[in-house]
Amino acid sequence: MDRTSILSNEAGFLHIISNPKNNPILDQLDTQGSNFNNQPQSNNTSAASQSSDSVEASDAKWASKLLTECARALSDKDSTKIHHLLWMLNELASPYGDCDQKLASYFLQALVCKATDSGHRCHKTLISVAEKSHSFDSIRKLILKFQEVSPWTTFGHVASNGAILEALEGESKIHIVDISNTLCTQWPTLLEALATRADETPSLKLTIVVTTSIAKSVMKEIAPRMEKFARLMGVPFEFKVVSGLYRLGDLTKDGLGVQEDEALAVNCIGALRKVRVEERMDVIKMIQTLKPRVVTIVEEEADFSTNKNDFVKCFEECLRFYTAYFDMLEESFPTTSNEKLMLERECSRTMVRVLACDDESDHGGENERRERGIQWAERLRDSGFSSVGYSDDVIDDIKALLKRYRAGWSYISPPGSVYDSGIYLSWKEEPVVWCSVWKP
Amino acid sequence: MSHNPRYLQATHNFSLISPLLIHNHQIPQVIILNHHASNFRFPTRCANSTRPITCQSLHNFSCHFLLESFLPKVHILLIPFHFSPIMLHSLLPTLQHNPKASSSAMTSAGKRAVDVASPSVAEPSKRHRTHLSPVEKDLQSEEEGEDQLQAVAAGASAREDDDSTGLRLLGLLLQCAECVAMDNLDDAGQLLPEIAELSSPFGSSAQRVGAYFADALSARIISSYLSIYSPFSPLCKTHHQKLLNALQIFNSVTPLIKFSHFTANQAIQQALDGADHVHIIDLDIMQGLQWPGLFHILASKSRKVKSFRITGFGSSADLLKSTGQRLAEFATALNIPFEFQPIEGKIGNIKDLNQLNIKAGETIVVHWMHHCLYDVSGSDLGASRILTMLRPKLITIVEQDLSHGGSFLGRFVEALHYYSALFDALGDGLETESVERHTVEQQLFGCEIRNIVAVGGPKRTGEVKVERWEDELVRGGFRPVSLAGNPAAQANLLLGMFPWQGYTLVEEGGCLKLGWKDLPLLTASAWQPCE
Repeated sequence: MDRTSILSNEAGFLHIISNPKNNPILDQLDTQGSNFNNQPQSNNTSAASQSSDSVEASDAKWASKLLTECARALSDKDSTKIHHLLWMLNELASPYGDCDQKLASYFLQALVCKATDSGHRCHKTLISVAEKSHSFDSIRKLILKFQEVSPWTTFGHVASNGAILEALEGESKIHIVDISNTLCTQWPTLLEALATRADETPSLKLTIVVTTSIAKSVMKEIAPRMEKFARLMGVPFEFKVVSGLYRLGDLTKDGLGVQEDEALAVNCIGALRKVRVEERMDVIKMIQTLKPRVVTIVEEEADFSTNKNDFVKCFEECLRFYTAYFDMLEESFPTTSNEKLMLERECSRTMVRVLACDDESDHGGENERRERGIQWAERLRDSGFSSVGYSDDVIDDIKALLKRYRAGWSYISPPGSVYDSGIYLSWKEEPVVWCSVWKP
Repeated sequence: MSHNPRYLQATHNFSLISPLLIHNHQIPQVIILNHHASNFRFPTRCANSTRPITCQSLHNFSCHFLLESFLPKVHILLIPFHFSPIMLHSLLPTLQHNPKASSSAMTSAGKRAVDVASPSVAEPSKRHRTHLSPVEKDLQSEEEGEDQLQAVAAGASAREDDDSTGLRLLGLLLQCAECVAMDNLDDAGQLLPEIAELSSPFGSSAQRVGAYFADALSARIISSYLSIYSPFSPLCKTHHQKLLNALQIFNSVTPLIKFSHFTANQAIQQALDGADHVHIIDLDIMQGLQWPGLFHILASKSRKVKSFRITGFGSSADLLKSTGQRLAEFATALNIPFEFQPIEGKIGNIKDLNQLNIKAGETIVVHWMHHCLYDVSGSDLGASRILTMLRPKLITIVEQDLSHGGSFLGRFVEALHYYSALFDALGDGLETESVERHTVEQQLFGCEIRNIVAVGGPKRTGEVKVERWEDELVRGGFRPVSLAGNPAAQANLLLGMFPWQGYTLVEEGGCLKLGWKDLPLLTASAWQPCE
């Protein structure tokens, strides 16, 4: 065939490529293609499926089912089943895929650590690697981005700031002991509120107690920033960092620099869960000895403590909580977000810690055994604290905050009951973060 | 010269990475590779000792490319001979002023020109001392060379962070792969968290490659611990849909699939010239996207075929059914008498030609597009046997330029080069945050990388694998049909039509190779039985 005839034969062919829209046949193909993709899922019951389990990998939420079965098998020490399920999970998991694949991937890591008794070593490596790679800039960027897309942390900030400001109304010397790892992202709005108070601006002393090694390494960058901001706001300001990494219970009034003429507020964000379970009452008692006017507590709503000796129950609770968390991350961040990836990796460290490490050996204070609000409330009440409700103004602030974020978020205020206190942030009707206010 | 970290000369006697590791991670601005150095040694630090990793069969081009993608800001010169240090000094300033001057030496070696950037800071003033003796003159030019190099280096410290991450990632990946190759799963597992932390599927090309290879290594380590190596199959409907969706996106942003379809269809339509009864056997039909193009070619011919059958192999009966229906509708619209025969299974497991239902008088064409998403042949030797027994008029094959057998480390390093190029190609024109890009990378490349790194390679079995189908087909009594001519023309037109720069097309021995910046990605070839 000579070249001209080739070209003329191909002219029609090439026409399709350069003008796909003009070709009705290709249009058909395209729509059929998309129809195919939109076909409803039917359960894959083909006999060719290798799995002898009742779970089909085409099920939605397959990860949850496979993971739970695997946890049970581990607890029963059913070696064949364990291997089979780990194999399935390994084949299907991916830390970069959809929610099911991610949960499968990170929980698989914890399960394999449990099965091979290598939880401690794995956790240690994960922590040290994260510490090395995180810088002040990267952590700050992460926290700010998270606050931008989700009220997970800002909810607690707004509620606590509101409660603190109201409790310390009229005071001229305020001292806030902040036991948290929020890198002071809570305080700018408080400083602003203090600066714009109708009466004379009080002085603020901020003592930060950090509880993770990662946060500790970046605190020195925070001080100048906070001082500068306070100067801008015109608030007389003092800033100090105390490391309470290992023994929060050993902190003292003197150690924290609490003076008699100060109005003290203690702010605990995600700090109590870092304390070893046996020492938690000691820490709460320590807070009592500081004689604060108000104590604000924020914790994630999950129970990894009660069942720490029952692997399956602990696993199921972990799975429940992180399924909600990953789902929230997936819907809050864009698909290709590095910040979301960092947060997911942080969860993976907790999963290994809670599921594959026993508590006996000291971990440098990186405990992660959460308790539910109702459990913390009992502890606080037993130590002599009484709960304080949130005022209407603070509730209004909360409502306004939640409006800034996408749908799915709400707050739950349990009806006045002896056993429950505080309010909950909820994601898709499930309570996820608990905030409360206490006075001695 | 060898202790000057600013530029390195690597030959088969020099280590490439060791000076970098030893000299406080300083990144050279120029790495000069010896054309004949086919055996690079990558020393790594392993618990206070330095042990080399030997990477066999590293193609110079691909090594060049690998370094480029991990160290994008480093200039790499390929030189044909072992240049002495003094000559190097005098060569570099010349290049910086006049890149063309020595290019003839290099083009004669068949290498493409790489631009050496001019220094970004002001050049230090040159000292002119005309009364110097020749030796002193040489030394003076050496000094000047150093000064200018340092000027280039000084202006580039900001770029070093990216480069040092890329380099560290590369080093760690190779170290981990070496541990796996030596069955040292414990140490390999300990390296993975750091590799994962340095990499991200949403970062630079190097970080993405790192992310998926790290995940693949992790999966392999777990499956080795479990001693279960088979893949999870068959893929259920949801997974199939996701895969097909990703393939559609891939098809729209790169020319690889179209290249395979077009070149094969051209070769096929030539072989079908004058045929009345056509039987196409597609060893992995998926959605059958290739065939409407061929329908159209046949429909536009003056002489119409009397029958046209396609036998499609696949793993899902549902998918085969819908593919068949779609193709039938397409054929009807073009008035082609069409019949579809689905076979749920793999060609290598066919024991008896009768299963293929060959009718007398048919012109048979077999088509196979290779990939690493799942095993297609079942048994390579079985497939080869069937092809030999069948003696079709034409076999069209599109292979990836990756070896599927061989040692784990060799496979790993080759795949690292290959996917570095592919990730780069995909990133060309698609932004970092592109969800489409992520879908293709995670669903397709990630899946392939996992299979390649897995025990047993993409076939996931210990079965004998055919290393190169070219050789196997020759053994089976076939000889190549040249694709120079119409198929090459078609491929050229295709590349010209799409906006991508960077894809290269080479015709070599009758095969067509599509590559990304000279790294071959796909090789299309056609075969007919010897008389």
